[in-house]
Amino acid sequence: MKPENSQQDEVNRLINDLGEEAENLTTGEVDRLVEIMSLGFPDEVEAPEGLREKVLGSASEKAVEKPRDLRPSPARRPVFLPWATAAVFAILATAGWMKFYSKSAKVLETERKLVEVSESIEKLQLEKKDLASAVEAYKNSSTLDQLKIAALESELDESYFGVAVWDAERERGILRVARIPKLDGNEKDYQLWVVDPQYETPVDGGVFQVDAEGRATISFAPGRKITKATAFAVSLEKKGGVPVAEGPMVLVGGL
Amino acid sequence: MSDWTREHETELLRKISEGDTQSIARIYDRYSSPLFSLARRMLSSRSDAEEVVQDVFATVFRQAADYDPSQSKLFTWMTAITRNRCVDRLRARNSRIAQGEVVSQNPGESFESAPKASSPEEERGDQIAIRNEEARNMRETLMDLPIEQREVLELAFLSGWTHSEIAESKAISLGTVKARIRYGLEKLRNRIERE
Repeated sequence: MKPENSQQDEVNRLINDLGEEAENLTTGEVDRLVEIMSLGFPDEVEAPEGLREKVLGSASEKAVEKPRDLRPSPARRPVFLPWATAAVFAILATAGWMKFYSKSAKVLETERKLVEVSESIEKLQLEKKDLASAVEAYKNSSTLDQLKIAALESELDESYFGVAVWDAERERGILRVARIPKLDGNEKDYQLWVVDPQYETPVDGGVFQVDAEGRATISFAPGRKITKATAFAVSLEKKGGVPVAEGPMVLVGGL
Repeated sequence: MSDWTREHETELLRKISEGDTQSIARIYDRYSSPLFSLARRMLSSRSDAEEVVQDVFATVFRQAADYDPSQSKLFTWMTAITRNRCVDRLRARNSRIAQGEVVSQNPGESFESAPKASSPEEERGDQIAIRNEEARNMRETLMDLPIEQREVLELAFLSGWTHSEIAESKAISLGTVKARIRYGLEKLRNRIERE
């Protein structure tokens, strides 16, 4: 039977579903966050009348059995004989164990090491096989032919610079920017856009920040299918990004 | 309300582990309504929500002896069980598309479409009123978030969608989903710290 999740398992699952940021919250913050998230959404309604009886009825049935398990047996049988028997067996078993311990411990240790080594070999062989397959696939896919490079420039400042490398086959890319202003405060993000003529508006490629020297390198995979990327752009948007570009264009470049 | 402390909850759980049904009745009276509300909202089904709440209390009853107040509040544990059970049921229903349509028809307006409070004769007086007041405060906190951040948090928490599923549904990148959740949680965290 599948073991039941523990208290920590249940809470961890909820936290993990929210994301990495939630994993850094303290216990107290998680408690409060759960209150906000669970109580803040719905108006509270009373649980149905019959439910209380069902829950308590079920609890009562289990309670009849539970204390019986917890309480010592009321029967007053002589307890010496079973204990003495157990003690004799324990002494015999210990003596036997002591006698064979040194030999069996060595055998077990050797067996354990053998298992570890064989597992390592098996793992390495699998990794080698995977690597060989990946290399072969890479050779066959003509991936390099699929890569497109766009230089991004700015009308705001000539020193702003960016390069986007786009893998059309995998529909993902890498953007590297330099010398664009680091954003102060916590209200704005740079947002990358991918221009595909099949869509009326550019497709969101994700938000990012730059370091103190105005540099950032991000890998991106747009949220919509890109049939033909023709240009890339970076705009300044409100924190978290927007569905359609609103802010000023910081960098633009065509393929 | 004021005598309801974590120590009090721990004591109730200890008694439950010894088979005391009065203690589970007290916890039921305290938490059944918010848990039922959450389940009903997530599942859009009164009968399914009832089953989930029964399951939650049965789980707490079975595991009462293992309850550790240092890991979480009792309400956090029970909410987590409720939410996780609901997510399992939603996945089992295999009705994500339908769920997505409901959510995305009026993104951010889900508060207005939430189940309304029951009629006064159904309510247990002050207790419900106080909790609804608390809920109003929680809602204000959530409403302070930008709609984009609130929406992704709602989908992750109440619908149990993965970040990839949210990205696909909303036609945004995975990075944007993660960023919105991160910023939303940061804002909630700052609000909590100020309290």
